[in-house]
Amino acid sequence: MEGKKLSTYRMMFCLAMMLILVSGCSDAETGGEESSGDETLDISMALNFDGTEAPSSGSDVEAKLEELTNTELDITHMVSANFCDRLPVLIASGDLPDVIASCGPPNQSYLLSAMQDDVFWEIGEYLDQFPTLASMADIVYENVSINEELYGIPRYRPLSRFVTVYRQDWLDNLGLEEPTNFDEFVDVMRAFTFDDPNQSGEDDTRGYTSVSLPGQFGFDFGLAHGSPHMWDVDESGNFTKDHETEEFLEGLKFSRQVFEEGLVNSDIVAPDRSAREADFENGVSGMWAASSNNVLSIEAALKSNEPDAELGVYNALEGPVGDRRLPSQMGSNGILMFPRASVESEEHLLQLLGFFEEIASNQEVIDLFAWGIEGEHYELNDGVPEHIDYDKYMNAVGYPYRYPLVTAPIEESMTQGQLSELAEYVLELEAENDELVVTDPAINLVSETENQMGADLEQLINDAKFQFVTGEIDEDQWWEAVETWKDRGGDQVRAELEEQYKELN
Amino acid sequence: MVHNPKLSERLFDAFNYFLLAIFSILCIAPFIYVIVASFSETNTAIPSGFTLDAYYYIFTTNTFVRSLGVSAYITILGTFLSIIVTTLMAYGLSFKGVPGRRIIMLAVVFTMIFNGGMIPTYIVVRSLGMIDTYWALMLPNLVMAFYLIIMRGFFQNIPNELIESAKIDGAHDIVVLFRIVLPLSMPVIAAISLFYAVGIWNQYFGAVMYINSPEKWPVQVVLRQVIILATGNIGDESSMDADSSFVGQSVQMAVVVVSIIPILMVYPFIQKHFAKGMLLGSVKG
Repeated sequence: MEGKKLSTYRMMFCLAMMLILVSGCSDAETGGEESSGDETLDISMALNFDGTEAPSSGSDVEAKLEELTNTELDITHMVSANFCDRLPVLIASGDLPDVIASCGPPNQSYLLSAMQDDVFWEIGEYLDQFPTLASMADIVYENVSINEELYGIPRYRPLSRFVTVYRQDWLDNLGLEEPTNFDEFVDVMRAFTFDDPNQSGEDDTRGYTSVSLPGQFGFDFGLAHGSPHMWDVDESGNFTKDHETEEFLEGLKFSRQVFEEGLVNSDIVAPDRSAREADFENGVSGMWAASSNNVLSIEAALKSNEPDAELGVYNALEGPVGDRRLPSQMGSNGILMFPRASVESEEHLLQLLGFFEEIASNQEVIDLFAWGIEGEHYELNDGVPEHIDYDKYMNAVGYPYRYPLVTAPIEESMTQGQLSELAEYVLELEAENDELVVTDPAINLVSETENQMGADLEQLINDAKFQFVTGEIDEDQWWEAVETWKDRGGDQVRAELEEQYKELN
Repeated sequence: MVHNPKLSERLFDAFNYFLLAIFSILCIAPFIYVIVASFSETNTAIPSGFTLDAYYYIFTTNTFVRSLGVSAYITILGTFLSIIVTTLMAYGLSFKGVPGRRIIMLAVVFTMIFNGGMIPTYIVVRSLGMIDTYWALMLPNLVMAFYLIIMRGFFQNIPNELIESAKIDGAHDIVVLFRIVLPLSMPVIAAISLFYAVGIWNQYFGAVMYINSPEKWPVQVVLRQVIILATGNIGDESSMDADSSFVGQSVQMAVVVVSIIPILMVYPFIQKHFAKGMLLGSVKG
């Protein structure tokens, strides 16, 4: 009984359904950038951010920043983890603002191919017009350069933040000095373990707390014993990985001896950092490998548990090879890039670079980043600024603006607040660390295999490392593990790095 | 039907039950482990002690509770929209005489085999202005071709005599759908609703791609955030200052438990539809 009319009606019905399907409910974006002459500069940015709540775009900090720099800012904040997932899609879809951050070091393959395709401006040639930006150390620029070309402004971070904190009051109780070399280091650990440094009359202390997170300077003392940091390269361009060297094993042997004597926590494999940190803060252990940027919070936590505690800090020990050596980090936290699609002229690019030059050199802007707004984030005591509520400052200024936007460091040029002696000393150590770092020649090289399997390979070596330190395996088995690492992809990574290295040099 | 099974059959049955039991245990063990670990006082591999601290912690963080609300909202609304559109389209396509039916079906199947991929999808979502809106979490997957085909097949299995007798009584297509077809199709509607709901509840990549504001995050993204925080940071030195607080294992487990429980709770309410016969007493023979 199917009438023609009916079925036409049904078809209409289907089509209507499909139409509903494909018509999205859109609340149209107000797009379109109208440059308003020389008046104010409109800048759209997509930045990664590490806070919890992104501020609304009309925040007073942003308003003040716009006023000081004569710009109109349109910033999209994305939480770092999501940002890293989304960046390749943003690049591929061409949905790019005037300024976009990279996700950590700019060595991902999608980014490299985008750079080869001229998606971003090469800014190396313009740098010398911007003295503050150009004042960053060469190595910071080298570490983010791809084939000698620079595709963004690095956001400066100290080259190395490794320090070790220890209990100065325990040393005083025992009549000891801060260790300067490995022999003294062992002596201090022994004393902290066996000689009742807290004078409690009980055996309730330990020399050192180690943590097994990858990349934590917890328990591999190979570097101090003369091994390279990550990779080493000789004149003919052959790469050697740190754990392939005898020196690295020497470092492990040192750790093993310390472990056997019971000078460190027995559960070095447990990767729970918070519990390990608590060991130091609660006065169980006397030493802890920290990062220079959290020494002060460790001190605060320690003093809240033990008001009489005193914290000391050093950065590097003289190793058996005689040098004080520290592993080098990137020296920057990603770069800020300028897509050609949205930044069409050289003039526009220079304006944007000028904006970043200004926020790194204009005293008012620097102090806005460093302190926030007076009465809201800081107050002046005898002319010296002091944060009212540090967390509030971090959420309103630090996470959303200072850390994503500041490129050349502002620590020295900002109006100095009242620093404790320890804080000043930490800054000194940080500066000294720059002299002590051992660099990684592969830091700006890219290996496809490393990108795919790096984590697994690292895990393999990490496991072997801990098994060796805890005495589960002997030297021969350690070398077997290194061989396994080679077969599983280590050699492949090496080959790829060497090839790239030859191309560049 | 009474019969005494032979020993061999009994053995065979026993063996079957044994295998199935093992398999069920394997399936449920991870859940049990996660639940137990979420109450654990220690962060060791073997849970021990009993504490509600982890739950206290996650329910006192704003983000997590709000994200549960977001997930519930998009799951309920999204499932509702998906079911309406899928049902109407499947119903229309289930008629034999609809002109262009084959072409439309081909188009549907085509999307199952070929899809645009992430980047074109992103461009579509962006150009429809759905970035950073809840629509971006509901509309891109509004109709799943596979579910549409299942539903259409189900509608086609409904005896034509039923529909024709309704027509003779003067019922319109729409009336037939709501009075005859849908009541008979509760099993398939229930099953597909559940699939849609689980799909939307569990989706996280869409949210990572399209949602900028943390306050619009569904629970899966928050869950991932918690886990990432717990395992340190991914970027190079992205933890800027102060102490990057590491979240304990029991908190991670608690977050997992809280995020799977709501969707597990839905199942018992739908279960009765699965058990119901499809065409019970619909056609008098």
